[in-house]
Amino acid sequence: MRAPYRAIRVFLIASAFFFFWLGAVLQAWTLFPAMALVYRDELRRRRACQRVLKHGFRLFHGYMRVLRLLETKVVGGADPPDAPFVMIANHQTLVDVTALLATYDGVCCFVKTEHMNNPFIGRLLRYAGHIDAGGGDALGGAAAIQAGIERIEQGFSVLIFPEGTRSPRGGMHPFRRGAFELACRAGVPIFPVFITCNPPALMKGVPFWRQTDETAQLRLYPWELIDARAERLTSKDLTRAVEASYRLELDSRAGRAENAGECGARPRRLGS
Amino acid sequence: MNDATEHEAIARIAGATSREQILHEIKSTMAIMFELEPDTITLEARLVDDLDLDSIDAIDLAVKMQDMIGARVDENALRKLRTIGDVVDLIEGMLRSRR
Repeated sequence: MRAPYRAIRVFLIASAFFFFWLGAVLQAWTLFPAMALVYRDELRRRRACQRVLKHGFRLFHGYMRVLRLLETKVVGGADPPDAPFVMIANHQTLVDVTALLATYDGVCCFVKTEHMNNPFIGRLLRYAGHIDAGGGDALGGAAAIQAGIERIEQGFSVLIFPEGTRSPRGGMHPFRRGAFELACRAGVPIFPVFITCNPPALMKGVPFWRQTDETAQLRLYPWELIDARAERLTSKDLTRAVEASYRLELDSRAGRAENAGECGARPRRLGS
Repeated sequence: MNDATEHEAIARIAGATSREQILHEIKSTMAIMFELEPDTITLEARLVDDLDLDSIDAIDLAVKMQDMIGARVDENALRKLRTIGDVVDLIEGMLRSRR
């Protein structure tokens, strides 16, 4: 029974990603160009494309939930502010970004250059105002932060995964400073979201056909806003402090911390 | 760099008419901003490999260029900068288009 069951699951996972890419291509080459004719103003067009994408991502996650592949839930926490913010999150799975963009409005995401250059998805991302994070070089990073400031000035929020790539199993890469520098320079709060996925699924380096047999539970835990200005920290210190909070939460969940008590489904104050 | 000196530098670069003048102002500005030896700031000097600028330094440089020119530096133009010569070319081009 196990082999046929696994084969069916692999087929279902493949179908989810097939529909994801099909939707992306259709939107990028038909719907969004048509919307560009209707919405002449770039900002209105971006917002309209983001709304369409949000519904698309909800459909994608709904499809995976119905097929018992992955179930996504937001747990606790306050709603984000109406004004722009910089959202950060640890990066557990391939679908963290779609889960966050399916949940929150008006968010532009920092995206790897290779995705922005992809003829299908890159076009889609540009229509929706997402930002080329640069190829890891200093000038690319500076340009990305500049673009982030511009989006915030236009009233959008910005999503950045400070690790720069998906987290290793059970751990986290060191945080990079860009998200915090952006928040400090733009004068907007940081909205941290802690992400868990149990059992682990769609991790970096694991092919989609080698996934768990159980329904993966993707959880988004929004934490308290961090007012970068009120904290009176440099972006470097802010990076360290927020990374420490994430590591403490990870350790707490893994039962490694000395004071491992209640696990993280709660807003956390910086450094607590 | 104090405010008065900075405003003077911005005024000078806005009025610069030659590449040499722009390079001179870039040199003095960057030498103070990033604590560099002015002699190392040549047209051929690479921003990252030779002058050791990181992405945060690069944003500071972009902000300074914007102050100097009085216009936002295009995101794609910023991505293409590699050397001091590229910075001078960009400022020269933007100043020319403003005049």
